[in-house]
Amino acid sequence: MSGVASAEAVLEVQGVFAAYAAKATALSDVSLTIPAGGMVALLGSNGAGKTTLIKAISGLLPLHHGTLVSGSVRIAGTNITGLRADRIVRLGLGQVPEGRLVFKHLTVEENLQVGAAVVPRAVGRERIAAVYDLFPRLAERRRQQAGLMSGGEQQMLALGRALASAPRILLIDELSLGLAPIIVKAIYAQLRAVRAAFGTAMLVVEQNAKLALEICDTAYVLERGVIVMSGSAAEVAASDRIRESYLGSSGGAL
Amino acid sequence: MPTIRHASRWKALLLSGAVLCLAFNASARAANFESPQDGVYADHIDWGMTADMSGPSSGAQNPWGQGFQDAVKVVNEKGGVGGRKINVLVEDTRYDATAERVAYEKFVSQTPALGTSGMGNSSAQTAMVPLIKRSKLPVVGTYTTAKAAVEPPTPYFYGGFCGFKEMAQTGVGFFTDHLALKQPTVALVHLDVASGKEYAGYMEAAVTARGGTFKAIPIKVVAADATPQVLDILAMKPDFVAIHGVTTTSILVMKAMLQYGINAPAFAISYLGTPTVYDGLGPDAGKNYYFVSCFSPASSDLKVSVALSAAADKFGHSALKDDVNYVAGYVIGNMVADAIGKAGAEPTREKLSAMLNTGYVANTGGLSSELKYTPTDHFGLTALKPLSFDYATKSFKSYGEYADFGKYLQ
Amino acid sequence: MLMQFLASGFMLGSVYGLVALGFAAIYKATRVFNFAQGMLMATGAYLAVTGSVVLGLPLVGTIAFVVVAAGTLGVVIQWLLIRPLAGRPLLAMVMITIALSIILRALIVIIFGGGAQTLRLGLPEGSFVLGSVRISAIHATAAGVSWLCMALFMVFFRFSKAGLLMRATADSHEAAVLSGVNVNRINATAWALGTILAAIGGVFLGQLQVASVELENIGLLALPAVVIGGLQSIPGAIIGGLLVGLIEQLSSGYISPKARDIFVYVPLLIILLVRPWGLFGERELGRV
Repeated sequence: MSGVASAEAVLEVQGVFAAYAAKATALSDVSLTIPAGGMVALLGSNGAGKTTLIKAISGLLPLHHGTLVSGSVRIAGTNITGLRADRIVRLGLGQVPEGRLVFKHLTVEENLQVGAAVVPRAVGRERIAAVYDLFPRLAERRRQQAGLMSGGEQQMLALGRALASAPRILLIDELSLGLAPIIVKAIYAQLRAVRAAFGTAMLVVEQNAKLALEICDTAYVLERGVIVMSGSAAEVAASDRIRESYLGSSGGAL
Repeated sequence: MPTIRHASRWKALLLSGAVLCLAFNASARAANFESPQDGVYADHIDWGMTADMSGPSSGAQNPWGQGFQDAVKVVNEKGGVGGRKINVLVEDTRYDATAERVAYEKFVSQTPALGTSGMGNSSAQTAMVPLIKRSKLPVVGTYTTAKAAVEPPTPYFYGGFCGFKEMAQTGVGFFTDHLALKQPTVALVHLDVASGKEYAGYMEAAVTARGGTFKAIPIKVVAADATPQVLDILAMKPDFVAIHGVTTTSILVMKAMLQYGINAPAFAISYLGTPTVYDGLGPDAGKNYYFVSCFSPASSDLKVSVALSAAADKFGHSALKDDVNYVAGYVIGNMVADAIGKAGAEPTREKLSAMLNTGYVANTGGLSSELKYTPTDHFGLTALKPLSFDYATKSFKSYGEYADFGKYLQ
Repeated sequence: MLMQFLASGFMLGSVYGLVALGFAAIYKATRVFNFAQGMLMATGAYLAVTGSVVLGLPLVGTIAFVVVAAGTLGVVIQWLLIRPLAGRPLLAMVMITIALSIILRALIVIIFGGGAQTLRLGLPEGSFVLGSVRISAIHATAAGVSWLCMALFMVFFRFSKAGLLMRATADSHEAAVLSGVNVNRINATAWALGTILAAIGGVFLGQLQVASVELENIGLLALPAVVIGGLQSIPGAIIGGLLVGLIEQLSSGYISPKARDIFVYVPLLIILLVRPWGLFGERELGRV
């Protein structure tokens, strides 16, 4: 299995087993590949192991008393398994965490500057300008304290902060959580614009399978820590299993 | 280790059997007296010493402890006392009354000592008077002397430092005459603790006895600044100032007086006549700073301090020989050795305290004023003299002999 | 008289503010309530003794030595004691800082002896009269340098990249990690700066009196200062320090030296009861 890292793949997860202290295995033999510029959906019910996989990729498992038992994670061919989370970010992994986690006491501009701190100054300035183009709302509020903004605006800011670091790949965790559907739609629409503008690959973790399958090229389905299905978004959306468990008759969330 | 020696000796005695033991004792008695419960053995004597060696008042008490031990080392090098070396058991009590009591009880029975010195904590002394009377382990030569420990005198307690009352009387008397004042106006800056209030009482008595005006100005032990105190002094315009406190107190008060242009001289209690204070003050603030002491810093009288200087140099304490606290420890160390000698060839706690109680005069070689105990006075030192530091010659300067200032004492 | 008290209170308060600012920097970045701040201040005085007396450095050299040594000490403390305990309960961290202050005290006593050390850096002495107020040159220098250091820190904190990352880390540790911030380095920087600020305060207090381990007790006045000003607020720490200085002078001037403790700690209790986030702190929003 050596030299599997293709030049094409931006993110390559191979045979990852992960566990939390004193608990059963949370991930077993999970593999997935995201090609350059690819948008990949990661689907699964609550507790399927989506967040664990995200943490295993981003290097945050140790912070939550978890361990990556075996397997490897590569970004653009570089093995990042076991590296510190902040180093992984500097190697090109942008994160839009669940719950947004913006810097509440900093202004919008400062939030973006923290994101841009990992890239050269000129790149950062360019990136921040591009973020303001993508989200004019943020440009209007650049001097506002982030904690005082609405949930949708904070979500835009979290996305913008990740983009400001010029990532090769974005991990987007439960973006729609707690937001009005119309705002979610608007932000998702901007994800395609992001890809068009920067060619950034994305791994989109979403409970709202319908929404994710609409915008992504391919999808993986995780159940009890195991990848049970993968394929093009259309294939996955068409499968009976998915229709029953995730899309439902109404086609709505959950 | 004295404890181990002590234990193995007893074992040996037990093993030798009752008859043999009696015979041994009888024959050894004259030449090789032992009394382990008094800390007295054939070749050495255990003696206790407690001081704050690393705590809040260690700046003053540590030099005292060094002086004491250096004096004993010299005595031991010359063969000890009556063929026995003095083994000093040091306990660092960190200015803690409980630690003081624990150490004393340890010297009573656990590692018995013939006597103990130091105990530089007057509240501990006051609290321990009943214990000392009961245990009968003599306390000889203390770093400070609580009134309750010597009034009325007990055969088991003997002071070893200049007294606050005498400091106040000598300082007030000297400056009143020196400045040719009729009725002195005097300000005292003192710590707001028990000993500070006691000193304020003596100062007030000394000043009012001369028809003068007196004001006591309290300051905290941990002060960052003496502006409020010195503004009080400024308002009062005293002829001279007195200081009771710690090293920092002297430095803050003298520096602030310089800042506010108060040119009155100040005299401090004996403990504060140290090179550290004069160093910290520098010549500008230090030229007005005096202290009264019953011990002489080495440089104030080079003739009498030859042996002291040699000892300090030999044991790496050259920097301390101008510190009155070191001199005090050195004097008491020598006095202890001398007193043990005078307690006879077979010293015990009882013989030692009986000897001191009937009347004893130490030969301090001029390093201090007369150090003597009488059946009615166990305080030890009474006379003091004023001193100051001459920055030009880097030596201490005294303003007369101890005897010259006895007239100020009542 | 009043003007005189206000002036000397302001000058002393400036030094307290400096030490309190160091405390707040450490607390804000690492959430460690540093009981060793007072001892770090005393350590600063001894570093100055080392530089000027032991190494015989001139004034500028001594200052550089104190800054470098204190910064290094801060980094070492963070690296050795604070970092391994990250995420532990508050009590463990508090115990660590108390142990640290005891260890520092013991080290100082072993190296320098228990007695006080004279510290003379050749800073201007003497005094001058300003209106009706008499000001000592050394107090004025101390206040001036304190304000300069505080201004430098504010500029660093507000406008530099490292300052931005420090504020970000203070805001949310996890978000900072996810944004690629090397949180350990930021925390080490905070400890270095906090230690340097305390040490500079110690250099001046040591110069005003003597270098002694008892300076710790003066340095610990930074604690009520920051609690009154607001644990989370950088300007609050400075103003808290000034207030403590003014309260100290006015209460010992008009009432008695003992009164200082009452007038410093009673407001502390009132603040904790009615406005726990301090005069200038912000109420924690959302979390906790």
